[in-house]
Amino acid sequence: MWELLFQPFVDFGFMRRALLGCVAVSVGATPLGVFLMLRRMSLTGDAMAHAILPGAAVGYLVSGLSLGAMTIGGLIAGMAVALLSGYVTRMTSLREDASLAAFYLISLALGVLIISTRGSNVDLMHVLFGSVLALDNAALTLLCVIASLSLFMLALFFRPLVLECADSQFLRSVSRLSAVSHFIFLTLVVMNLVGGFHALGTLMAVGIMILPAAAASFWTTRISGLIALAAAIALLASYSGLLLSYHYSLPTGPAIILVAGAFYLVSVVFGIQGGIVQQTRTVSAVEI
Amino acid sequence: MNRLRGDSVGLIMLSAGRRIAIASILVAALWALFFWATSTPGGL
Amino acid sequence: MSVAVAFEDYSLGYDRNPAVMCLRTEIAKGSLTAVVGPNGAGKSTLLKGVIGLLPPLSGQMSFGAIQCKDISYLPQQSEIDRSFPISVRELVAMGLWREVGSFRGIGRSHNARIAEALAAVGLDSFEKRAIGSLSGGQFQRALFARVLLQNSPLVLLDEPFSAIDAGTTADLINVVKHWHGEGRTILAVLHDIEAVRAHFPETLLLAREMVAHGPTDKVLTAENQFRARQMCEACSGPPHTCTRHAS
Repeated sequence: MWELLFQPFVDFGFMRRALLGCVAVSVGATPLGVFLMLRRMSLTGDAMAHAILPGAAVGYLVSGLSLGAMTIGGLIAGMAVALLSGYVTRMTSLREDASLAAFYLISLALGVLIISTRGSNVDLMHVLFGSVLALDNAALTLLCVIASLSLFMLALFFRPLVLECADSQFLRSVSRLSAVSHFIFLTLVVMNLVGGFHALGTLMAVGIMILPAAAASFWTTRISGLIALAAAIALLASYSGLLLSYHYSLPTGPAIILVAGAFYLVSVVFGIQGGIVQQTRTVSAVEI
Repeated sequence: MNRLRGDSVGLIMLSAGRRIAIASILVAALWALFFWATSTPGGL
Repeated sequence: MSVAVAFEDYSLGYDRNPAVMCLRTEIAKGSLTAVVGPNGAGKSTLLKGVIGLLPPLSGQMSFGAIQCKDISYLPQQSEIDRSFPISVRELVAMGLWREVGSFRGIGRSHNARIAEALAAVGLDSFEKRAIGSLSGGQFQRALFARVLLQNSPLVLLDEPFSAIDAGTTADLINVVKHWHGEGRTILAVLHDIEAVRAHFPETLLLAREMVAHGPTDKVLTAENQFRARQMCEACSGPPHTCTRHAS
């Protein structure tokens, strides 16, 4: 048992590093995922994750697989799309989901194109699916700094953030922090997606943000519990995903996301807050 | 007694200081993991 | 009698289309005023203007003795996410915002007041329930408890009694009357004319422009209501520039 569950992390530095990277992404990104979900912005998260790709690709074009250049490129592109898509929705008659889908498709195509012109398929795979088993000290430091910053900012602005989701009219009637907290929130989401993209790749980073939050929502009706549970699910998914990928030689990013996806599916069926089993029971109880 | 029951002490009711204290514990744990993962031998 | 809110040729709207035009009147301090008018008359917009959610297109609004941050605002129910995962107690406690802001804790010293506010609206045993599990009437009671905690001299209510049961409406009207008795100024958007006649001494009849403002029985005449409806049908066309003031 010990050998199965812990030995890989004791024996291999790369497994410990991968675990640390996933833990950092989990504790930083999942609380934000909870807020994204509660604001019905899950798709926005997805669009932003893809938007980061061309930014990171330009960084790659300038200086190869460099952590700094790709991070800065991703941050700029992510923030640009976060602000632009809000602007397009407000200024045009296009519905938000359509405008987001447009942004996300353009970004993805552009990013893949830019990387393909210069790099190999290996580079492309690195950007799309991350390299959680080859995180160096600089990347790990970046991930931990982003996670720490996210936790502190969330702790500080928790109350306005919650009210901004639940009753933004009220928040705006009592405080000027509404716009500020929204901007901080978007910035944190972009930062975490950029961090997550180093570990899990652009396609998977948003998965560790949204899936645990969606799964947790089937178990609790308190936001504090939701955040704690989502983070716990993300940690568990990271840990078991890593082990699965180690023992069965599976690609790590998809393994982690699939475990999180399994948590989600189990929650959909068995969750005590509106899960399928519970709903059928209530319905049949009413019919009787 | 109320404070011990989880459901009545939502994070939203706590002061920013207390919320940051909770965040600090998590951050400290994260960095402890960081030093364990990066400093012990085992190689890439 | 001193003035709580004064409007001078005040126009409000979205994207340069005025929803409220050339409003020129005064809300007396301590008055209990109903804002009525046909659909699209700019009633809710007016409240958003007073609370500062919408900047005026032109004209001015001034407060008498009150600070502009001493205003409670109860938005329409539809504008609040009722599936949001917080408890009734947490929602109501946010009425303490002006005392605790974003950063101070809500602790023992506040618990008694939160419990008092919940009891005043008849929600004593509901404090731990999630807001999503409340009925429409219960949820409106919770929002009233939040306004109660805000303890403001000026209270703005947007359709506070729409889509709730008669018992709750009666209870909440009593809460409003109690506020009136405490000398607060209350401005409520309503569509139930009978309730306005029965409980609101003052009425402001709006149809984009002001039709009439004064004692309810003098304002809610058949003639005035007919005029309001006509003006609102006329105003579905393109906005015209304002040239005259309603008296």
